[in-house]
Amino acid sequence: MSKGKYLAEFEIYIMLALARLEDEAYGVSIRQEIEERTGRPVSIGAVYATLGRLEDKGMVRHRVSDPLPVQGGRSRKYFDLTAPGREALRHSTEMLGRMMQGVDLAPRVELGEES
Amino acid sequence: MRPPQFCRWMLKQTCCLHDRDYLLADLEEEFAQRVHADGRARAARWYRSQALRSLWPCLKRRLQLRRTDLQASRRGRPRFGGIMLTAFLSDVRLALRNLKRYPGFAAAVLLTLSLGIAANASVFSVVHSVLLRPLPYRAPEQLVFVWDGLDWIGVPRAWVMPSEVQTLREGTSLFEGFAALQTGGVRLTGDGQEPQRVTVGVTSDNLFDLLGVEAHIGRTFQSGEDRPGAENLVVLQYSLWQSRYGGADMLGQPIDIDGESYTVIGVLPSDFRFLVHSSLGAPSGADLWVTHQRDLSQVPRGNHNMAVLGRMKDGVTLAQAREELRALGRRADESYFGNQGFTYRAVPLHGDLVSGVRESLWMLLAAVGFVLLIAAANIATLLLARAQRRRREFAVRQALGAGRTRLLSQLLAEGLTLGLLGSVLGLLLAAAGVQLLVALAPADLPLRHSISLDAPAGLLALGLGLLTGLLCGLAAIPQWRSLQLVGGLSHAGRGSSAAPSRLRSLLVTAEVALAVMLLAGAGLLLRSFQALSVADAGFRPAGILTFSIERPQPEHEFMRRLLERLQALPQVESAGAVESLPLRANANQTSVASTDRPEERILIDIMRAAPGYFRTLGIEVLRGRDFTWRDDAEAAPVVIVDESLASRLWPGQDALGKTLGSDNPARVVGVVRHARLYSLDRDDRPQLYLPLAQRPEENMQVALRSAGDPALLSDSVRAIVSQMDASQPVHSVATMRSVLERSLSERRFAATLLSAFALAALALAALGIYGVLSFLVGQRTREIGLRMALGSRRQGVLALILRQGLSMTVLGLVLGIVGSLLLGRLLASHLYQVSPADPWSIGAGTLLLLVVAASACLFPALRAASLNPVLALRRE
Repeated sequence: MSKGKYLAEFEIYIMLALARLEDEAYGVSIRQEIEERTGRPVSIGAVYATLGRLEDKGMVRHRVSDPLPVQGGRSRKYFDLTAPGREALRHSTEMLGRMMQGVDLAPRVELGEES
Repeated sequence: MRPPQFCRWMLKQTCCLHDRDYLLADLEEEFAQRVHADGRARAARWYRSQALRSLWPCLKRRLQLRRTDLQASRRGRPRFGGIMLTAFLSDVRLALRNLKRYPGFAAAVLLTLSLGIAANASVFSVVHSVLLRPLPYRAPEQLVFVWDGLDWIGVPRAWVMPSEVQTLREGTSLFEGFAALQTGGVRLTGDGQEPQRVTVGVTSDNLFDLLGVEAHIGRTFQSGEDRPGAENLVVLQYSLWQSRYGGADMLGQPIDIDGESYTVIGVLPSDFRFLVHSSLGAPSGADLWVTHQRDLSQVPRGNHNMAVLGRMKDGVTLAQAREELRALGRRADESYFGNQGFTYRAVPLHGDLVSGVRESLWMLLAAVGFVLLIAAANIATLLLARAQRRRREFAVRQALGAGRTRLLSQLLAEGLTLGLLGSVLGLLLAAAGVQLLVALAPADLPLRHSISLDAPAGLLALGLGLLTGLLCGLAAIPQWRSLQLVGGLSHAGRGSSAAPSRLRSLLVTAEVALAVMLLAGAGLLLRSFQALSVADAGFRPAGILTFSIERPQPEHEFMRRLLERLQALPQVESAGAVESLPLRANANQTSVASTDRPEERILIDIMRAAPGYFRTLGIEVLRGRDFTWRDDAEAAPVVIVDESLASRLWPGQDALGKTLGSDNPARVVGVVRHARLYSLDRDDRPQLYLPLAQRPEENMQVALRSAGDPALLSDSVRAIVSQMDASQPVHSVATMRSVLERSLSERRFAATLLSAFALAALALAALGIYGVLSFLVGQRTREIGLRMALGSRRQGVLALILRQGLSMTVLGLVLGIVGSLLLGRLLASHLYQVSPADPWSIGAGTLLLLVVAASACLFPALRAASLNPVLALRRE
């Protein structure tokens, strides 16, 4: 696996959120999901910037929904994982798990570098 | 429900196009949910925080997209809105990269710019703190000082007589109130510490109310506390409370002021200062405040000795207030002054305080502005030269499809980037610059304590930096207008087009002109300063130590014994005492009737002197004799006049033996030289001396003439005085030399700064000339090689280049001389025995610049003359 395929921490959060939300993954739900689960404040800008980067790497794809059925309703941009994305996520979390084996207290885990 | 619009707009500008609409819509959706759940205010706060925290990731993402998306960056032509910002940001990045690529160029530009900005920000801080920032009182613009206008005896601004204060209070409808105040020296004793001489402000009970100042601890005066028989109360200045009482709880404690017990009722805030502008000297503050405890209306008329502060009511203009005061003045003129033209003058408090320094400060700001202009011209020439060198780069970019707007935007981005960096560096330097200025500033500069680098100065620095950067960037534009694609490519590296170099010569000409003006201005001030330092003050300042004592008992006997003991010291040649020493500016005035025209009053300075004073100060006794201790109460009254009083009262006659005064006439026993009491350049009033033994006086200043270093005597002086009277503080110990220097300090400040600015201007102008010429030589290498190959001699080439350089300079010099003549007129009031069109100052400035410019031209010219024609021609 090339270096570009390693995932940064926030990228992993985003991809896990996509996996969890399945068809309902769009900006608002992704942001709230991460914020609720990690308890740390997440900006919508960071969410979109990371999604964009993941999309460049071919790990995430998006579709644009039809306008919502209300007056002035808007389209949403829904995201989901591609097959390589799913694979990369599995790989990363697996490595994380392996690294964690036998480690009692690991206050910080470095997961590759942000590209 | 709309989210905060500014944040939304900002985010919209930052976010990349693909995501923009979705991101904003998502954010709005959640915003709406939150409005519903938490309310509008919390939702808005959340939105703002989201927007702010999203800026950086969005920006980063955008830059990243541009890096990868070559296509987009080549397409050029910006549209307004988001793309514009992206393009501009990338221009800024490019500008930074370019700066890194040419570190020498970057350093030259940034250094020039930041020094220029630092100098401006520092001087502006002083101007702003002293002249512009409102005084720290409630509605300070409504405060005015009221003066008596006694124009018929030549005193347009005299202090007010105590009895007038009540008249003013009763007569006004436009003033909230008037406070009367005086300052004086008193002795603090009785608390087990060394006696200390402090300045007391004696005021009416409403001063602090009028100023809108409340006590830091305790209270200030209340209504009725200035009446006769009121309790002795004192309010301490914060600094005295700290220095003498160590900040201890003093409320209700008694302290002794001149032997009388006063109760401390309050301490003023640490930043409170109130300066009383004495009509003659510099404004002075007070260490503690008491009330006058008098019924002012009952004080006999005659002495003009109170400063009066008035506060105009809300909405009253200065013109209206002046009109009312004029009417009150007319009434007083009729009823008391006998229609001699008495009037009241109202001067805004702030203006009154800084009137002595306003012009100098603005002058310095203008001068430092000139320096920045020169620096900007220099930067513009540097940018122009570089733009010329980058023609090829721009031609290539244009060929690849960059629109003209796009190129323009890049030039502007470069200018602005430089400007911004220059501002930041400049501000850092300015922080040190302000400290330096405060250290250099004369000690009596009003509001000196408040000088600091503040927000307006920071904004000014930023604005100046961006403006300079913008203008310098724009200066490079004219040549792009005429840029033709093919021409640019084929001329690349060879061109010697005339148009941009004309702009450059113009800039250099302007630099030279400004530098000449600054040099000439500095020359004028320096020559004035020099003339003043050697000016004849009427006494010999070298070797004199002076100090003050107060209220010795019994007065003249104490002084006599003191002078005898001082004279017995081994180093002391002579000792004397006087009520007001030269250059201390604290004499009393009175008026005497002219002998032949009794209706004409002559305003004079009057002071007591002890025997030996004239000899000690080196004031020549022209006729007659000095006082002796035998001129006492038993002897016939005598006086000594100075030469100017003698010539005013008895022109063409011998003043000796004449008498002065009607009810108790005193005989003139001596005529002495006029010694300058106020400042070296002010021609002051005639002087009259009275013998101390006949007219005892409490506050005397003692002078000793030493054979060695006078400063070494101060310990012996203190020892002798404390042996004679332990409760007698000795204060204001200073050598006459330092008093003299202090009186010159404001001029020294202005002259030093202006000289520094002028030298900076000279250096910048020289750099400018050098830069332009060496650039031209580089440009014309091929042409020069050709000339030499065709038989031109080295001297010829040298002359050619020198001529080109000097022609720019000479035009600048001519303009500069004209400018200097105009400048001289503006400076006229600051000059002393120097003509505003002083040929020496202007000539020296011009010559200095010419020499420096010629040497700046010489190096590039020599380089051109030593070119090897073969190599020069082959260089392409």
